[in-house]
Amino acid sequence: MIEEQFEDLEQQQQAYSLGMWIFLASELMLFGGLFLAYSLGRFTHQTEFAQASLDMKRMLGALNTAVLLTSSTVMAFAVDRGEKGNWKGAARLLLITAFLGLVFLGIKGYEWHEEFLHFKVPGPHFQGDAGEQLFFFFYFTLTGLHAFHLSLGVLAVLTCAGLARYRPPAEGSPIMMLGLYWHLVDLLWFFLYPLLYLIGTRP
Amino acid sequence: MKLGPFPIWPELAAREAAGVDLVTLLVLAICSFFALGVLCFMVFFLVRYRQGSPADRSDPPTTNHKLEISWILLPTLLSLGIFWAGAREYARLYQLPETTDLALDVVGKQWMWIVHYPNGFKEINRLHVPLGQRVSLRMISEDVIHSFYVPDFRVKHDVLPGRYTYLWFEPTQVGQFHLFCAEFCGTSHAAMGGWVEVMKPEDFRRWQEGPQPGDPAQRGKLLFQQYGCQGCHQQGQLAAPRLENLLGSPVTLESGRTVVADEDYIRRSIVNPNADIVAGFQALMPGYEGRLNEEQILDLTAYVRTMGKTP
Amino acid sequence: MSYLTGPPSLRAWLFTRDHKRIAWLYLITISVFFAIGGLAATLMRIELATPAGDLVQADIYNRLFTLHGTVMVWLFLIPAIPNTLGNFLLPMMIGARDVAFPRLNLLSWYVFSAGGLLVLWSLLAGGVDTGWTFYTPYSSTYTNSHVILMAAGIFVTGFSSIFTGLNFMVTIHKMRAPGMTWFRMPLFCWSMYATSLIMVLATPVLACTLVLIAAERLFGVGIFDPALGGDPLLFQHLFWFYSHPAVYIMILPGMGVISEIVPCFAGRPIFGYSYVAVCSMAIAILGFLVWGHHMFVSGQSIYAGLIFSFLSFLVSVPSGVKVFNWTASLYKASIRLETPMLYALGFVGLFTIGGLTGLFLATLAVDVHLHDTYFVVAHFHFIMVGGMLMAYLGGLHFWWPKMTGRLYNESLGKVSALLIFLGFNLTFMPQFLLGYLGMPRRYHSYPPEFQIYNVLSSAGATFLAVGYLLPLVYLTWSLFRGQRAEENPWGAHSGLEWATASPPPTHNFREPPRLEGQEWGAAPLLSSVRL
Repeated sequence: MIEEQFEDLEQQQQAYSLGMWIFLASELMLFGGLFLAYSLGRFTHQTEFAQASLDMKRMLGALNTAVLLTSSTVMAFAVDRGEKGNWKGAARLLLITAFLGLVFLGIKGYEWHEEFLHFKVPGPHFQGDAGEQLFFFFYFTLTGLHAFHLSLGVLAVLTCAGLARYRPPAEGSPIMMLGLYWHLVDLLWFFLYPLLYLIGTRP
Repeated sequence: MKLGPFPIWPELAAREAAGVDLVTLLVLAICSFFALGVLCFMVFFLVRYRQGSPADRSDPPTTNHKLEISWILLPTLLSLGIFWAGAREYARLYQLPETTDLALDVVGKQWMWIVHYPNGFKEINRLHVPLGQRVSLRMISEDVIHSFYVPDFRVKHDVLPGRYTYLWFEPTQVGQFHLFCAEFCGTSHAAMGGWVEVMKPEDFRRWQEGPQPGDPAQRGKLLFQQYGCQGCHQQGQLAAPRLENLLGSPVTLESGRTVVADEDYIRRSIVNPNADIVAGFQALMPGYEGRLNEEQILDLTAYVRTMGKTP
Repeated sequence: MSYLTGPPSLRAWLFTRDHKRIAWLYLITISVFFAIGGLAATLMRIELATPAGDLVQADIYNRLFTLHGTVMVWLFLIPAIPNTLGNFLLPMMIGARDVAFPRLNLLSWYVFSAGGLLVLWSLLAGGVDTGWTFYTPYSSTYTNSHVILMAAGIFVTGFSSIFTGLNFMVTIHKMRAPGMTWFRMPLFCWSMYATSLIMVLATPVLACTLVLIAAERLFGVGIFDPALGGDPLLFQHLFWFYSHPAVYIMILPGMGVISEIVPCFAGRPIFGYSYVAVCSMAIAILGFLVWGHHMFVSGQSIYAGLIFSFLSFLVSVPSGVKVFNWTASLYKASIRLETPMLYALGFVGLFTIGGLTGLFLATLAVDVHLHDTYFVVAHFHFIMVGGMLMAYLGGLHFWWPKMTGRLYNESLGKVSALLIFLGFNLTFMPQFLLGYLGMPRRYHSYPPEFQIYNVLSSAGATFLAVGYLLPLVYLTWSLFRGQRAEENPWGAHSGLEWATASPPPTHNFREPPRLEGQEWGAAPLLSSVRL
């Protein structure tokens, strides 16, 4: 259980935990760059961005926000179960977290499908002006990158659930690190939602 | 300036060149002081403390806070001095003077420089400028980023697509000086150069009075009619903002902002009119992006400048 | 039994988790990339010996200098010291058995190699002609070269950087031996830490930027091209926000190597240990604030220029402090001039000149004249080749006995070092003059008055090439016929790596070394270490 480069379990856990925090910092820099580019686009194409944002499905976005928020809460409880050694309980809650993640992805996929049908995907078939296309480019890139990270998270959570149920560790709780990652993905969505969905005012 | 076969310094052919060179010499002096200092100490220590030498090596010090602080503070102060000298000269180089004697327009495109003179004359890869007079350049690119560089004047500025950039200089020597493109722009980047020819003012006048291929404002008027602008922007029409005496005047936009109608504003209004709609008007004007090239836009601007003025 | 012995199977090396073997995997890979980048440079210098573009066509020349830049920067300079010497030495120097995440370490190498192969593929497919800086809109709209393929390759190698940085940071935070406090750590480890900080935080911004260029090329969305509604300066800000800190990723490890070599061959502890350590961190942090000094003539506002110039002067100070401390470390020393020390002294001299010429470029008015000329080319080659590459070679020679258990031929070592030093100066000194005289960079052909310095430069490059080939020969030869090395062949007084066999056993130490009290300067005295 303790890898051979480490002296003891505590050192191993601290190392993994620190590693996750550093990884999260680099993720923030990645999304940060994209957010910056988005902000500049918004500043130079104010009317077009607002116009394009009106095409977003606010209700579905709001629903997705609620879904992720709930999943983060469930994840926090799963971490707690793990720390108390209740691995069966942790596994159950992890499954629910993964399920909610999949619900999010499903809703997002539906939105993308609708946008595709309405010629909102940037490229030769796009319908709208240059500013609107730029908005949708950022929309697809940001939500796509987010969904990619969320999918990896779902896979990790499912793996973790399986391990918790059938091969729980003798001591310590690795679920905390996964929790950190999940919360980052959730936090990113909290910025994406208003920036992408809420910037236009309906007449 | 040459030392035998070795060129060691470029010409000083513009008023600000001397200022730039002075700053360079200041930096050179300070850097030489540090470089030689380090070198001398290194050589001295290498010789004196080589293994086997009879020098005193007892208790080599491993810290000395006073020494460290001083060699942090001194370079910092000297650096700030250099910064200040460089910044002052930079402001002089890049802030256009109040008045200039000759205003030229330059369009860079792969892979040539096209120079427009006020009398309508155009040249490729060559500028003729008068000695001792302030010349300003308004520059733009048709395609990618270029950079207008005259080493002997010590001036350089990137030439961007979509936006005007500016340079000014006052030549102080008659002769021919290299013009280079200094931002990689594709295959023939290295060939995208030419000459700045500085002439005595009388000679320049004589050169200018050569054959007149046309006034940019005249060319602009033709374009104005050809592209149907007068359909809306004519006296008596209410669909479009008036252009008479527009250049230099304030304009209130729909968003509430007030801007001054400079050349950039005129250009944007032609290229993408719906970006900034004038208060009280509708978004009706078509955009001419891609239908007019930069040289045509310069001619139209020249024409707009004449509108409202008695001929 | 050492980490080198054991079943001689490919599998044992390609699936290893041992940081020392991973270091060798990297060493071989980056050497191949260095040769490719060097070959391009050779062709370029041959072309530039005459003013006319007579060796290759302009288009080919443009692809050559792009190849040279991208391969040297991303496939050699960035990984060289951290992933070879850093990987090999970091755990040993802090008394650990391996890095924190050995499997991630191996994955880093695979990711690096995959990215490198993508870059090579883009070259074989015809190359890219935008320069390693990819300025838009030329790179995003106008060029018809393989930008996306090369961007993909660099994107992938970026992850290798991030993983390495993450691994090193956690290793240094959590795996130091008992008694090895932060301020008793070797200075090489401090510079690895500072480098890792930059790797982790700056590289993702590069990833972003490359994605945006690819998107503009593929989908025609207007991010950087004004004709599509974008802003070309946005690209420059995003690109340089990574690429300026990147140059510190390249030089900080070199500085760390020098801080290890000098005390050993001076026979005395380094002067000003804590100042040097703190300066590494200062360089890393300040390095994030100066990117706009690449854009003084770009059309950014004058005020931005003022701020970036000011900050650029500040970032030069910690580097200067290091140079002063290295020089002071020769006072009351007992100096031996073996090959590693020759490289280290060469570094101090050439880095000093290179760094000082940076001040010319930080000076606003002077940079207007010097931007995009050969002065800039000379400046960064002084730092990267005169500095970083000499540090790499010095470090390689210094730790070669430890890594291989063999000694190389010392006379050949000295000859190569001297040849490289002289060749380097002949190649790059004339370029400062070329720059001030006004010769722009990335020029395939040039006006005849610049020829004299170009000929000198090309002549120097020939000596350099020979200088670099020699170590390849005698170091390889030493693997088979070199004299066996003992634990501490240089007689170092500190550094835990010298307390174990040459080459070391797989787990570096049998149990974590215990450091008990006696110090040599700031570092633990080797003879007082209990193993």
